[in-house]
Amino acid sequence: MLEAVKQILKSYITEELLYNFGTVEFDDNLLADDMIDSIGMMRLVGFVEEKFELKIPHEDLVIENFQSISVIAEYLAGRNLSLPEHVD
Amino acid sequence: MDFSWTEEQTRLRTEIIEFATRELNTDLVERDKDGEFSRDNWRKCADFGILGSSVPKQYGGRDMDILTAVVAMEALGYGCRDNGLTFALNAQMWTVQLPIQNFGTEKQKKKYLPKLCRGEIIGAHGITEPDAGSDLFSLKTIAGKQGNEYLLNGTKKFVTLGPVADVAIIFATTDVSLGKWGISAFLVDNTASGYSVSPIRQKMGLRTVPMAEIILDNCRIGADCMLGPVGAGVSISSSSLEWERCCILASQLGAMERQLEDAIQYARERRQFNQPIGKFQSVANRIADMKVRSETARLLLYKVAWLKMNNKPAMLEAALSKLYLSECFVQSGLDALRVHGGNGYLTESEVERDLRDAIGGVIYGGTSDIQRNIIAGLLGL
Ligand SMILES: Cc1cc2nc3c(=O)[nH]c(=O)nc-3n(C[C@H](O)[C@H](O)[C@H](O)COP(=O)(O)OP(=O)(O)OC[C@H]3O[C@@H](n4cnc5c(N)ncnc54)[C@H](O)[C@@H]3O)c2cc1C
Repeated sequence: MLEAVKQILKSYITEELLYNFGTVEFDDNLLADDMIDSIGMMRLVGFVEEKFELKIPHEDLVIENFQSISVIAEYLAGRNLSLPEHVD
Repeated sequence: MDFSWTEEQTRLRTEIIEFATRELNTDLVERDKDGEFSRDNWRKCADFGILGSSVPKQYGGRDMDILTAVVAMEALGYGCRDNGLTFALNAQMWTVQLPIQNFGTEKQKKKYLPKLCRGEIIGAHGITEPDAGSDLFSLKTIAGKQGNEYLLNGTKKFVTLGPVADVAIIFATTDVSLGKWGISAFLVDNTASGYSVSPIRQKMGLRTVPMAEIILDNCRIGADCMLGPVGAGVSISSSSLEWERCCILASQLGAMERQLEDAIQYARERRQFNQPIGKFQSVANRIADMKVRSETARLLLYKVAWLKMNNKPAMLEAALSKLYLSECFVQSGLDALRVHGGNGYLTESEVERDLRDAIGGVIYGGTSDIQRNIIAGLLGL
Protein backbone atom coordinates (compact mmCIF):
# COMPACT_ATOMS: atom_id res chain seq x y z
CA MET A 1 0.00 0.00 0.00
CA LEU A 2 2.87 2.36 0.86
CA GLU A 3 4.13 1.94 -2.70
CA ALA A 4 0.73 2.87 -4.13
CA VAL A 5 0.55 5.99 -1.99
CA LYS A 6 4.04 7.02 -3.09
CA GLN A 7 3.10 6.59 -6.74
CA ILE A 8 -0.03 8.70 -6.32
CA LEU A 9 1.97 11.47 -4.64
CA LYS A 10 4.71 11.28 -7.26
CA SER A 11 2.25 11.63 -10.14
CA TYR A 12 0.47 14.56 -8.51
CA ILE A 13 3.70 16.41 -7.71
CA THR A 14 5.21 15.82 -11.14
CA GLU A 15 2.12 16.77 -13.09
CA GLU A 16 0.49 19.43 -10.96
CA LEU A 17 3.29 21.07 -9.01
CA LEU A 18 6.26 20.67 -11.34
CA TYR A 19 4.16 20.88 -14.53
CA ASN A 20 6.11 17.93 -15.92
CA PHE A 21 9.18 20.18 -16.13
CA GLY A 22 11.18 18.09 -13.71
CA THR A 23 11.24 14.73 -12.09
CA VAL A 24 10.97 13.86 -8.47
CA GLU A 25 12.17 10.71 -6.75
CA PHE A 26 10.67 9.20 -3.62
CA ASP A 27 13.48 10.43 -1.39
CA ASP A 28 14.10 13.86 -2.96
CA ASN A 29 13.85 16.77 -0.55
CA LEU A 30 10.67 18.54 -1.65
CA LEU A 31 11.21 21.56 0.53
CA ALA A 32 14.86 22.30 -0.21
CA ASP A 33 15.51 25.16 -2.64
CA ASP A 34 11.78 25.75 -2.81
CA MET A 35 11.16 22.78 -5.12
CA ILE A 36 7.64 23.10 -3.74
CA ASP A 37 6.79 26.57 -2.46
CA SER A 38 4.24 27.33 0.26
CA ILE A 39 1.34 27.57 -2.19
CA GLY A 40 2.45 24.26 -3.69
CA MET A 41 2.52 22.79 -0.20
CA MET A 42 -1.03 23.98 0.46
CA ARG A 43 -2.15 22.41 -2.81
CA LEU A 44 -0.40 19.18 -1.89
CA VAL A 45 -2.08 19.11 1.52
CA GLY A 46 -5.46 19.80 -0.11
CA PHE A 47 -4.84 16.99 -2.59
CA VAL A 48 -3.82 14.50 0.11
CA GLU A 49 -6.85 15.38 2.25
CA GLU A 50 -9.24 14.93 -0.63
CA LYS A 51 -7.65 11.84 -2.15
CA PHE A 52 -7.17 9.93 1.09
CA GLU A 53 -10.24 11.33 2.82
CA LEU A 54 -8.54 12.56 5.96
CA LYS A 55 -7.80 15.85 7.68
CA ILE A 56 -4.20 16.88 8.27
CA PRO A 57 -4.07 18.80 11.55
CA HIS A 58 -2.23 22.14 11.38
CA GLU A 59 0.40 21.00 13.86
CA ASP A 60 1.35 18.07 11.61
CA LEU A 61 2.33 20.40 8.79
CA VAL A 62 6.03 20.39 9.63
CA ILE A 63 9.11 19.31 7.71
CA GLU A 64 9.34 16.00 9.62
CA ASN A 65 6.12 14.88 7.92
CA PHE A 66 6.48 16.47 4.49
CA GLN A 67 10.13 16.48 3.52
CA SER A 68 9.89 13.83 0.81
CA ILE A 69 7.38 11.55 -0.85
CA SER A 70 8.59 8.61 1.27
CA VAL A 71 8.24 10.67 4.45
CA ILE A 72 4.71 11.78 3.55
CA ALA A 73 3.74 8.18 2.79
CA GLU A 74 5.14 7.05 6.16
CA TYR A 75 3.26 9.84 7.89
CA LEU A 76 0.03 8.81 6.18
CA ALA A 77 0.65 5.17 7.07
CA GLY A 78 1.04 6.31 10.70
CA ARG A 79 -2.40 7.85 10.45
CA ASN A 80 -3.77 4.35 9.77
CA LEU A 81 -4.52 5.30 6.25
CA SER A 82 -6.59 2.82 4.33
CA LEU A 83 -6.83 3.58 0.66
CA PRO A 84 -10.35 4.55 -0.36
CA GLU A 85 -11.90 2.05 -2.76
CA HIS A 86 -11.68 4.26 -5.79
CA VAL A 87 -7.91 4.66 -5.37
CA ASP A 88 -5.85 1.92 -6.90
CA MET B 1 -28.69 27.42 -1.47
CA ASP B 2 -29.84 29.19 1.67
CA PHE B 3 -28.69 32.76 2.16
CA SER B 4 -30.77 33.47 5.26
CA TRP B 5 -29.41 33.93 8.77
CA THR B 6 -30.88 32.14 11.77
CA GLU B 7 -33.01 34.10 14.23
CA GLU B 8 -30.15 34.01 16.68
CA GLN B 9 -27.68 35.39 14.14
CA THR B 10 -30.12 38.16 13.17
CA ARG B 11 -30.56 39.07 16.83
CA LEU B 12 -26.79 39.13 17.35
CA ARG B 13 -26.42 41.43 14.35
CA THR B 14 -29.00 43.88 15.71
CA GLU B 15 -27.48 43.84 19.19
CA ILE B 16 -23.96 44.52 17.90
CA ILE B 17 -25.09 47.35 15.64
CA GLU B 18 -26.95 48.98 18.53
CA PHE B 19 -24.00 48.53 20.87
CA ALA B 20 -21.43 49.84 18.39
CA THR B 21 -23.52 52.82 17.29
CA ARG B 22 -24.20 53.79 20.89
CA GLU B 23 -20.77 53.18 22.42
CA LEU B 24 -17.94 53.33 19.91
CA ASN B 25 -18.34 56.40 17.73
CA THR B 26 -17.68 59.33 20.06
CA ASP B 27 -14.84 61.85 19.51
CA LEU B 28 -13.72 59.93 16.48
CA VAL B 29 -12.56 62.88 14.38
CA GLU B 30 -10.37 64.06 17.25
CA ARG B 31 -9.06 60.61 18.11
CA ASP B 32 -8.22 59.96 14.47
CA LYS B 33 -6.39 63.29 14.26
CA ASP B 34 -4.41 62.57 17.42
CA GLY B 35 -3.83 58.91 16.60
CA GLU B 36 -5.37 57.98 19.92
CA PHE B 37 -6.17 54.38 20.84
CA SER B 38 -9.20 54.02 23.10
CA ARG B 39 -8.63 51.39 25.75
CA ASP B 40 -12.10 52.17 27.07
CA ASN B 41 -13.69 51.14 23.80
CA TRP B 42 -11.45 48.08 23.65
CA ARG B 43 -12.76 47.04 27.09
CA LYS B 44 -16.35 47.74 26.08
CA CYS B 45 -15.93 45.41 23.10
CA ALA B 46 -14.38 42.79 25.37
CA ASP B 47 -17.24 43.13 27.87
CA PHE B 48 -19.76 42.80 25.07
CA GLY B 49 -18.09 39.53 24.08
CA ILE B 50 -16.63 40.59 20.73
CA LEU B 51 -13.06 39.52 21.48
CA GLY B 52 -14.14 36.10 22.71
CA SER B 53 -16.46 35.44 19.75
CA SER B 54 -14.80 32.30 18.45
CA VAL B 55 -12.84 31.26 21.53
CA PRO B 56 -14.07 28.05 23.21
CA LYS B 57 -16.24 28.60 26.27
CA GLN B 58 -13.77 27.00 28.69
CA TYR B 59 -11.29 29.80 27.88
CA GLY B 60 -13.80 32.58 28.34
CA GLY B 61 -15.21 32.83 24.82
CA ARG B 62 -18.53 32.34 23.06
CA ASP B 63 -17.50 29.50 20.75
CA MET B 64 -19.08 30.95 17.62
CA ASP B 65 -18.79 29.18 14.29
CA ILE B 66 -17.20 31.07 11.42
CA LEU B 67 -20.48 32.11 9.78
CA THR B 68 -21.75 33.61 13.02
CA ALA B 69 -18.40 35.32 13.57
CA VAL B 70 -18.73 36.83 10.09
CA VAL B 71 -22.20 38.12 10.98
CA ALA B 72 -20.80 39.62 14.18
CA MET B 73 -17.79 41.30 12.57
CA GLU B 74 -19.85 42.60 9.66
CA ALA B 75 -22.32 44.12 12.13
CA LEU B 76 -19.43 45.66 14.05
CA GLY B 77 -18.00 47.18 10.87
CA TYR B 78 -21.42 48.61 10.06
CA GLY B 79 -22.14 50.09 13.47
CA CYS B 80 -18.63 51.17 14.45
CA ARG B 81 -17.24 54.03 12.38
CA ASP B 82 -13.82 53.54 13.96
CA ASN B 83 -12.25 51.25 11.34
CA GLY B 84 -8.99 51.32 13.31
CA LEU B 85 -10.70 49.72 16.28
CA THR B 86 -12.46 47.02 14.23
CA PHE B 87 -9.18 46.28 12.45
CA ALA B 88 -7.29 45.99 15.73
CA LEU B 89 -9.93 43.73 17.29
CA ASN B 90 -9.79 41.48 14.24
CA ALA B 91 -5.98 41.49 14.33
CA GLN B 92 -5.94 40.21 17.89
CA MET B 93 -8.77 37.73 17.38
CA TRP B 94 -7.44 36.02 14.26
CA THR B 95 -3.68 36.49 14.36
CA VAL B 96 -3.13 36.06 18.09
CA GLN B 97 -6.02 34.27 19.79
CA LEU B 98 -6.73 31.81 16.97
CA PRO B 99 -3.10 30.59 16.69
CA ILE B 100 -3.04 30.15 20.48
CA GLN B 101 -6.32 28.25 20.24
CA ASN B 102 -5.03 26.04 17.41
CA PHE B 103 -1.45 25.47 18.55
CA GLY B 104 -1.15 26.44 22.22
CA THR B 105 -0.51 24.01 25.04
CA GLU B 106 -3.21 23.79 27.69
CA LYS B 107 -1.06 25.97 29.92
CA GLN B 108 -0.61 28.64 27.22
CA LYS B 109 -4.33 28.66 26.43
CA LYS B 110 -5.24 29.07 30.09
CA LYS B 111 -2.61 31.74 30.60
CA TYR B 112 -3.53 33.96 27.67
CA LEU B 113 -6.98 33.33 26.20
CA PRO B 114 -9.25 34.33 29.11
CA LYS B 115 -7.33 37.57 29.69
CA LEU B 116 -7.27 38.39 25.97
CA CYS B 117 -11.03 37.79 25.74
CA ARG B 118 -11.69 40.00 28.77
CA GLY B 119 -9.54 42.80 27.36
CA GLU B 120 -7.19 42.62 30.36
CA ILE B 121 -4.20 42.06 28.14
CA ILE B 122 -3.63 42.89 24.48
CA GLY B 123 -1.88 40.69 21.91
CA ALA B 124 0.07 41.47 18.73
CA HIS B 125 1.44 39.46 15.83
CA GLY B 126 5.00 40.05 14.66
CA ILE B 127 6.08 38.40 11.45
CA THR B 128 6.96 41.25 9.02
CA GLU B 129 10.52 42.57 9.15
CA PRO B 130 12.40 45.39 7.45
CA ASP B 131 13.65 42.95 4.78
CA ALA B 132 10.80 40.45 4.86
CA GLY B 133 7.44 41.87 3.78
CA SER B 134 5.59 40.02 1.03
CA ASP B 135 8.42 37.49 1.13
CA LEU B 136 7.57 36.92 4.75
CA PHE B 137 9.31 33.60 5.21
CA SER B 138 12.66 35.16 4.35
CA LEU B 139 12.63 36.64 7.84
CA LYS B 140 15.92 37.09 9.66
CA THR B 141 14.95 37.07 13.32
CA ILE B 142 16.85 34.26 14.96
CA ALA B 143 15.88 32.17 17.94
CA GLY B 144 18.97 30.45 19.32
CA LYS B 145 18.47 27.66 21.82
CA GLN B 146 20.49 27.94 25.02
CA GLY B 147 19.68 25.16 27.42
CA ASN B 148 16.07 25.54 28.41
CA GLU B 149 15.78 29.01 26.90
CA TYR B 150 15.70 30.77 23.54
CA LEU B 151 17.53 33.96 22.75
CA LEU B 152 15.66 36.08 20.19
CA ASN B 153 17.37 38.66 18.00
CA GLY B 154 15.69 40.70 15.28
CA THR B 155 13.18 43.45 14.51
CA LYS B 156 9.50 43.12 13.71
CA LYS B 157 8.00 45.91 11.63
CA PHE B 158 4.46 47.31 11.20
CA VAL B 159 3.21 45.55 14.32
CA THR B 160 -0.45 46.47 14.82
CA LEU B 161 -1.11 47.12 18.53
CA GLY B 162 2.67 46.74 19.11
CA PRO B 163 2.91 49.77 21.45
CA VAL B 164 0.10 48.54 23.73
CA ALA B 165 0.62 44.78 23.47
CA ASP B 166 1.32 42.75 26.60
CA VAL B 167 2.22 39.69 24.55
CA ALA B 168 3.32 39.19 20.96
CA ILE B 169 3.52 36.13 18.75
CA ILE B 170 6.99 36.40 17.26
CA PHE B 171 8.12 34.36 14.28
CA ALA B 172 11.81 33.48 14.27
CA THR B 173 14.15 30.97 12.68
CA THR B 174 15.18 28.08 14.89
CA ASP B 175 17.06 26.24 12.12
CA VAL B 176 18.54 28.33 9.31
CA SER B 177 19.43 25.24 7.26
CA LEU B 178 15.74 24.40 6.78
CA GLY B 179 14.76 27.75 5.24
CA LYS B 180 11.11 28.59 5.82
CA TRP B 181 10.53 25.16 7.38
CA GLY B 182 12.92 26.12 10.13
CA ILE B 183 10.72 29.01 11.30
CA SER B 184 8.99 28.66 14.67
CA ALA B 185 6.64 30.90 16.63
CA PHE B 186 6.95 32.14 20.21
CA LEU B 187 4.68 33.82 22.73
CA VAL B 188 6.77 36.68 24.05
CA ASP B 189 5.59 38.80 26.99
CA ASN B 190 6.48 42.50 26.83
CA THR B 191 8.21 42.10 30.19
CA ALA B 192 10.82 39.72 28.74
CA SER B 193 14.36 41.06 29.02
CA GLY B 194 15.61 42.47 25.71
CA TYR B 195 12.08 43.23 24.41
CA SER B 196 11.40 46.84 23.44
CA VAL B 197 9.05 48.82 21.24
CA SER B 198 9.89 51.73 18.93
CA PRO B 199 8.02 55.05 19.09
CA ILE B 200 4.54 54.88 17.53
CA ARG B 201 4.60 55.22 13.74
CA GLN B 202 2.35 57.85 12.20
CA LYS B 203 0.30 56.51 9.32
CA MET B 204 -2.22 57.40 6.64
CA GLY B 205 -5.27 55.57 7.99
CA LEU B 206 -6.43 53.26 10.79
CA ARG B 207 -4.93 55.95 12.98
CA THR B 208 -6.79 54.95 16.13
CA VAL B 209 -4.76 51.74 16.37
CA PRO B 210 -1.09 52.23 17.22
CA MET B 211 1.63 50.55 15.18
CA ALA B 212 5.33 50.19 15.93
CA GLU B 213 8.38 47.98 15.62
CA ILE B 214 9.17 45.35 18.21
CA ILE B 215 12.88 45.07 18.81
CA LEU B 216 14.31 41.86 20.18
CA ASP B 217 17.81 42.38 21.44
CA ASN B 218 19.06 39.24 23.14
CA CYS B 219 15.48 38.75 24.28
CA ARG B 220 15.50 35.78 26.64
CA ILE B 221 12.45 33.54 26.95
CA GLY B 222 11.80 30.05 28.29
CA ALA B 223 11.62 27.17 25.82
CA ASP B 224 8.02 26.66 26.97
CA CYS B 225 7.12 29.95 25.22
CA MET B 226 7.28 28.21 21.87
CA LEU B 227 3.87 28.08 20.21
CA GLY B 228 3.24 24.77 18.47
CA PRO B 229 5.96 22.36 17.40
CA VAL B 230 9.46 23.38 16.29
CA GLY B 231 9.31 24.48 12.65
CA ALA B 232 5.55 25.07 12.63
CA GLY B 233 5.87 28.78 11.73
CA VAL B 234 4.59 28.36 8.17
CA SER B 235 1.68 26.25 9.34
CA ILE B 236 0.79 28.67 12.16
CA SER B 237 0.86 31.65 9.87
CA SER B 238 -1.26 29.98 7.18
CA SER B 239 -3.69 28.21 9.52
CA SER B 240 -5.47 31.36 10.60
CA LEU B 241 -5.44 33.08 7.21
CA GLU B 242 -8.88 31.98 6.08
CA TRP B 243 -10.57 33.05 9.33
CA GLU B 244 -8.54 36.24 9.37
CA ARG B 245 -9.48 37.11 5.81
CA CYS B 246 -13.17 36.30 6.36
CA CYS B 247 -13.59 38.33 9.48
CA ILE B 248 -11.42 41.38 8.78
CA LEU B 249 -13.11 41.60 5.41
CA ALA B 250 -16.53 41.16 7.04
CA SER B 251 -15.92 44.34 9.02
CA GLN B 252 -14.90 46.12 5.81
CA LEU B 253 -18.06 44.86 4.18
CA GLY B 254 -20.11 46.26 7.06
CA ALA B 255 -18.34 49.60 6.63
CA MET B 256 -19.10 49.54 2.88
CA GLU B 257 -22.79 48.99 3.64
CA ARG B 258 -22.85 51.97 5.98
CA GLN B 259 -20.95 54.05 3.43
CA LEU B 260 -23.49 53.15 0.76
CA GLU B 261 -26.43 54.16 2.96
CA ASP B 262 -24.73 57.48 3.82
CA ALA B 263 -24.07 58.15 0.13
CA ILE B 264 -27.68 57.42 -0.82
CA GLN B 265 -28.98 59.71 1.90
CA TYR B 266 -26.63 62.51 0.88
CA ALA B 267 -27.53 62.14 -2.81
CA ARG B 268 -31.21 62.44 -1.92
CA GLU B 269 -30.78 65.50 0.32
CA ARG B 270 -28.14 67.56 -1.44
CA ARG B 271 -29.68 69.72 -4.17
CA GLN B 272 -27.97 71.37 -7.13
CA PHE B 273 -29.59 72.77 -10.26
CA ASN B 274 -32.91 72.59 -8.35
CA GLN B 275 -32.89 68.86 -7.89
CA PRO B 276 -31.34 66.19 -5.68
CA ILE B 277 -27.89 65.29 -7.00
CA GLY B 278 -29.01 61.62 -6.99
CA LYS B 279 -31.15 62.48 -10.02
CA PHE B 280 -27.97 63.09 -12.05
CA GLN B 281 -27.05 59.87 -13.74
CA SER B 282 -23.33 60.29 -13.06
CA VAL B 283 -23.97 60.42 -9.32
CA ALA B 284 -26.57 57.62 -9.37
CA ASN B 285 -24.27 55.37 -11.41
CA ARG B 286 -21.53 55.78 -8.86
CA ILE B 287 -23.91 54.70 -6.12
CA ALA B 288 -25.16 51.79 -8.24
CA ASP B 289 -21.55 50.68 -8.65
CA MET B 290 -21.06 50.86 -4.89
CA LYS B 291 -24.08 48.59 -4.46
CA VAL B 292 -22.80 46.09 -7.06
CA ARG B 293 -19.45 45.99 -5.27
CA SER B 294 -20.89 45.34 -1.83
CA GLU B 295 -23.27 42.63 -3.07
CA THR B 296 -20.67 40.77 -5.14
CA ALA B 297 -18.04 41.08 -2.42
CA ARG B 298 -20.56 39.71 0.08
CA LEU B 299 -21.17 36.60 -2.03
CA LEU B 300 -17.45 35.85 -2.23
CA LEU B 301 -16.97 36.41 1.47
CA TYR B 302 -19.91 34.26 2.55
CA LYS B 303 -18.69 31.50 0.26
CA VAL B 304 -15.35 31.39 2.09
CA ALA B 305 -17.14 31.27 5.45
CA TRP B 306 -19.48 28.56 4.19
CA LEU B 307 -16.57 26.46 2.87
CA LYS B 308 -14.76 26.73 6.21
CA MET B 309 -17.99 25.96 8.07
CA ASN B 310 -18.17 22.74 6.06
CA ASN B 311 -14.52 21.91 6.66
CA LYS B 312 -13.55 22.41 3.04
CA PRO B 313 -10.34 24.09 1.87
CA ALA B 314 -10.85 27.73 0.93
CA MET B 315 -7.38 29.01 0.02
CA LEU B 316 -8.43 30.09 -3.44
CA GLU B 317 -11.72 31.63 -2.38
CA ALA B 318 -10.06 33.42 0.56
CA ALA B 319 -7.52 35.01 -1.80
CA LEU B 320 -10.27 35.98 -4.28
CA SER B 321 -12.25 37.52 -1.46
CA LYS B 322 -9.29 39.39 0.06
CA LEU B 323 -8.27 40.81 -3.31
CA TYR B 324 -11.75 41.77 -4.41
CA LEU B 325 -13.25 43.10 -1.21
CA SER B 326 -10.28 45.20 -0.14
CA GLU B 327 -10.02 46.78 -3.60
CA CYS B 328 -13.80 47.37 -3.60
CA PHE B 329 -13.56 49.15 -0.25
CA VAL B 330 -10.97 51.55 -1.68
CA GLN B 331 -12.98 52.15 -4.84
CA SER B 332 -16.25 52.66 -2.97
CA GLY B 333 -14.48 54.99 -0.53
CA LEU B 334 -13.43 57.11 -3.48
CA ASP B 335 -16.93 57.00 -4.99
CA ALA B 336 -18.51 57.97 -1.66
CA LEU B 337 -16.15 60.92 -1.48
CA ARG B 338 -17.03 62.02 -5.02
CA VAL B 339 -20.75 61.81 -4.20
CA HIS B 340 -20.19 64.10 -1.21
CA GLY B 341 -18.14 66.59 -3.27
CA GLY B 342 -16.14 69.16 -1.26
CA ASN B 343 -18.00 68.28 1.92
CA GLY B 344 -16.66 64.74 1.68
CA TYR B 345 -13.14 66.12 1.42
CA LEU B 346 -13.49 67.79 4.81
CA THR B 347 -12.28 65.67 7.70
CA GLU B 348 -15.30 66.59 9.82
CA SER B 349 -17.61 64.85 7.31
CA GLU B 350 -16.04 61.50 8.31
CA VAL B 351 -16.19 60.45 4.65
CA GLU B 352 -12.53 60.86 3.74
CA ARG B 353 -11.46 58.83 6.78
CA ASP B 354 -13.08 55.67 5.41
CA LEU B 355 -11.02 56.06 2.23
CA ARG B 356 -7.78 56.52 4.17
CA ASP B 357 -8.66 53.53 6.34
CA ALA B 358 -9.43 51.37 3.31
CA ILE B 359 -5.96 51.70 1.76
CA GLY B 360 -4.31 49.59 4.45
CA GLY B 361 -6.55 46.70 3.38
CA VAL B 362 -4.84 46.30 0.03
CA ILE B 363 -1.48 45.96 1.81
CA TYR B 364 -1.82 44.06 5.09
CA GLY B 365 -2.39 40.30 5.20
CA GLY B 366 -0.75 39.98 1.75
CA THR B 367 -0.95 42.78 -0.83
CA SER B 368 -3.35 42.61 -3.77
CA ASP B 369 -0.43 41.58 -5.99
CA ILE B 370 0.33 38.69 -3.67
CA GLN B 371 -3.33 37.62 -3.69
CA ARG B 372 -3.18 37.53 -7.49
CA ASN B 373 -0.04 35.39 -7.26
CA ILE B 374 -1.81 32.99 -4.90
CA ILE B 375 -4.86 32.80 -7.16
CA ALA B 376 -2.68 32.15 -10.20
CA GLY B 377 -0.65 29.55 -8.29
CA LEU B 378 -3.76 27.74 -7.13
CA LEU B 379 -5.08 27.76 -10.68
CA GLY B 380 -1.98 25.79 -11.60
CA LEU B 381 0.08 28.59 -13.14
C1 LIG C 1 -2.17 48.66 8.29
C2 LIG C 1 -1.16 47.59 8.32
C3 LIG C 1 -1.11 46.72 9.39
C4 LIG C 1 -0.14 45.71 9.46
N1 LIG C 1 -0.08 44.92 10.56
C5 LIG C 1 0.90 43.99 10.67
C6 LIG C 1 1.03 43.20 11.86
O1 LIG C 1 0.26 43.35 12.81
N2 LIG C 1 2.04 42.30 11.92
C7 LIG C 1 2.91 42.11 10.89
O2 LIG C 1 3.78 41.26 11.02
N3 LIG C 1 2.82 42.84 9.75
C8 LIG C 1 1.84 43.78 9.62
N4 LIG C 1 1.74 44.55 8.48
C9 LIG C 1 2.72 44.38 7.43
C10 LIG C 1 2.14 43.81 6.15
O3 LIG C 1 1.79 42.47 6.28
C11 LIG C 1 3.15 44.09 5.03
O4 LIG C 1 3.15 45.48 4.83
C12 LIG C 1 2.81 43.37 3.74
O5 LIG C 1 3.00 42.00 3.87
C13 LIG C 1 3.64 43.87 2.56
O6 LIG C 1 4.99 43.90 2.85
P1 LIG C 1 5.86 45.23 2.58
O7 LIG C 1 5.10 46.37 3.17
O8 LIG C 1 7.22 45.01 3.06
O9 LIG C 1 5.84 45.43 1.03
P2 LIG C 1 6.81 44.75 -0.06
O10 LIG C 1 6.77 43.28 0.12
O11 LIG C 1 8.12 45.43 -0.06
O12 LIG C 1 6.03 45.10 -1.40
C14 LIG C 1 6.19 46.33 -2.10
C15 LIG C 1 5.42 46.22 -3.42
O13 LIG C 1 5.95 45.14 -4.21
C16 LIG C 1 4.92 44.22 -4.54
N5 LIG C 1 5.44 42.86 -4.53
C17 LIG C 1 6.30 42.28 -3.66
N6 LIG C 1 6.53 41.00 -3.97
C18 LIG C 1 5.79 40.73 -5.07
C19 LIG C 1 5.56 39.59 -5.89
N7 LIG C 1 6.15 38.41 -5.61
N8 LIG C 1 4.73 39.70 -6.94
C20 LIG C 1 4.12 40.86 -7.23
N9 LIG C 1 4.28 41.99 -6.51
C21 LIG C 1 5.10 41.92 -5.45
C22 LIG C 1 3.87 44.41 -3.44
O14 LIG C 1 2.58 43.99 -3.87
C23 LIG C 1 3.94 45.91 -3.21
O15 LIG C 1 3.18 46.57 -4.18
C24 LIG C 1 0.78 45.56 8.40
C25 LIG C 1 0.72 46.43 7.31
C26 LIG C 1 -0.22 47.44 7.26
C27 LIG C 1 -0.26 48.36 6.08
